Amino acid sequence: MAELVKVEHLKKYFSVPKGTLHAVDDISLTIDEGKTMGIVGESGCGKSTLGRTLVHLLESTDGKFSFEGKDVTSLNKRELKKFRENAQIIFQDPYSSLDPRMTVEDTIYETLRLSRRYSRNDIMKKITEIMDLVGIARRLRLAYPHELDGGRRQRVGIARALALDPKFVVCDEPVSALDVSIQAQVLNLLQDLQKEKGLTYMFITHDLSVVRHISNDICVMYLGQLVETSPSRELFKTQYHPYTKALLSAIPSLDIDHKMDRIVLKGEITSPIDPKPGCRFADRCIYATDACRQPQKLVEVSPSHFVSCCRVKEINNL
Amino acid sequence: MPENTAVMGSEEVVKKENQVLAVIKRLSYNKSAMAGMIIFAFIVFIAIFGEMLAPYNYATVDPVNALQAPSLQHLFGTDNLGRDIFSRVLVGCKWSLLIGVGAQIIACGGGIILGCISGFFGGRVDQVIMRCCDVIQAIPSVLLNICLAGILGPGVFNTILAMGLTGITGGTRLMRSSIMTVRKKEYLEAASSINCSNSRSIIMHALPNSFSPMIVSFTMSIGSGVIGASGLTYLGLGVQAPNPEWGALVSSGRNYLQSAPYMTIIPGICIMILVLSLNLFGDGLRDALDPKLKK
Repeated sequence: MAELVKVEHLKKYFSVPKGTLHAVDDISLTIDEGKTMGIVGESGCGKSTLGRTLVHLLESTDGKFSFEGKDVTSLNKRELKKFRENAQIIFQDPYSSLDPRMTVEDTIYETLRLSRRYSRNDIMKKITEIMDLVGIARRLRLAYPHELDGGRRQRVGIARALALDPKFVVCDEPVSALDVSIQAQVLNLLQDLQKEKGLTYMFITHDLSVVRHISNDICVMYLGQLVETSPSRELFKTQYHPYTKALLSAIPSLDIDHKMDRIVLKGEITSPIDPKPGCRFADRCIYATDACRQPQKLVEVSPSHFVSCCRVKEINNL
Repeated sequence: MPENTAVMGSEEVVKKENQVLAVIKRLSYNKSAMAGMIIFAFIVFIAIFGEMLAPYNYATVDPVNALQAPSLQHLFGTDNLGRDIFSRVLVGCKWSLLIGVGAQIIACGGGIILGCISGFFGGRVDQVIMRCCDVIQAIPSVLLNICLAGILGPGVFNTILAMGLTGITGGTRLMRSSIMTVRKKEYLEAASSINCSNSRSIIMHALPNSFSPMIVSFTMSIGSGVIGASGLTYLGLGVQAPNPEWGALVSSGRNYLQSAPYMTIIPGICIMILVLSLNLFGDGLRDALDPKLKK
């Protein structure tokens, strides 16, 4: 399988009045063509920052990022324009990601027009095509966003992202603002589109059941660091990192006889502003030792299952 | 914007109206906006033809008939020099309209441009623009007007320029703050993700979603602009005597407020009607441009 996206030691720091905020700290991952990489983690752990950095809405502070084998870490205007036709983003909140003064048609039109790929007449045909593709009724062509419900709005967001046939789409919590009944529709739509167009997704979410449903691989993030990455099925079976264990133990079960062994985390989340070196989770981890305060390395514990924890062997009796 | 198009779909044929026509149509349903527009059109008419309609010469001094109350002969009465106030109001309309609207066009135009740049880009650009505004606003506006008008020399257009330039700071602040409320919206991020240039993002996305306070400010400030111009006229910097101007008419009546209140009240009402008409029209325009209020 060809690697579409390869990220090496990517860092994104923000300077804030109190110091430097390490939003994304030394993340390396690869996403294969046609696959879905799920990024999970709690709020504020840098998932969205990572996603936005990968579509160049934010510029990375350090690290390397290649797309289809080409280095795209820093791009000039022309390269960026071309890159963006291949890498798109679907936003979390369909209530603020659509311009309230633009109709469905205008929104898609603008995308197509700016690419200069189509003539005026072709654009009109293409708009109809895209609306059919994402399942927006043709009669809603001139509807404004406030006239649409959340699911339809998100479909418009998807239409905008897919209008130029990108290869890579970052889905930044695309269903978390929607009703549960509509979440399933949108997820199925995304999956169908992936099959039809061979899309590669990076699926950012904090909803574990969603990520299980849609992802081939999963990355677990904690305060800007990558703590564990593995194929999806494998990760839901066995977790090695103490944080992942705690995270997955929080999934509610439908089986009422099954007693949940929740691992309840204690302590405050460490501040991401000028953090100490080492594992960020150490302050809340019951297994933490002095070795955890040193910079950690990703270790392959089992085939394509990587964990960033120096005590992984002792904790899991490997 | 896409023009009229019909989609040859088997399912539905959706026709797109011309956007400008659609806005005008919506505006025409709004009764108060139409009233505002009619009044404003009337004022413009007077501004153009006022001199022809005036029953007396606006500058002819007639001390015998000074300070007469309104009568059939002098509809609005006469002033302390016996000049017919009705004629002076008709002729003064032109100057007041020019100064009030002209100065606000400069102020709002400059304010929109600087405010958009400042609010959209933020950071150092914002700092520089805002500190310049602070410096200018720290000087009392009347003083600044006098200085500018003094430098530029007396005359109507220099007055307009001076008042417009001092008004830019307020416009910039207003525009900046409303741009900042939409700056963090995801549709602006989405715009850059589909290769919108910054200028296109501002003009197509940020500005249309944040300009409505500007319309209100534009219409409200015209009144104070007309009054403010009278201060310059008083100092001999604005409209040159004996040319009348509403603000100057109001202020010249001040000394006779008890004996001849109509000298102040009538031009005052004229200013009020001008502001009201623009305000009604402005509100209607804002509503007509907002798709959320579409019926």
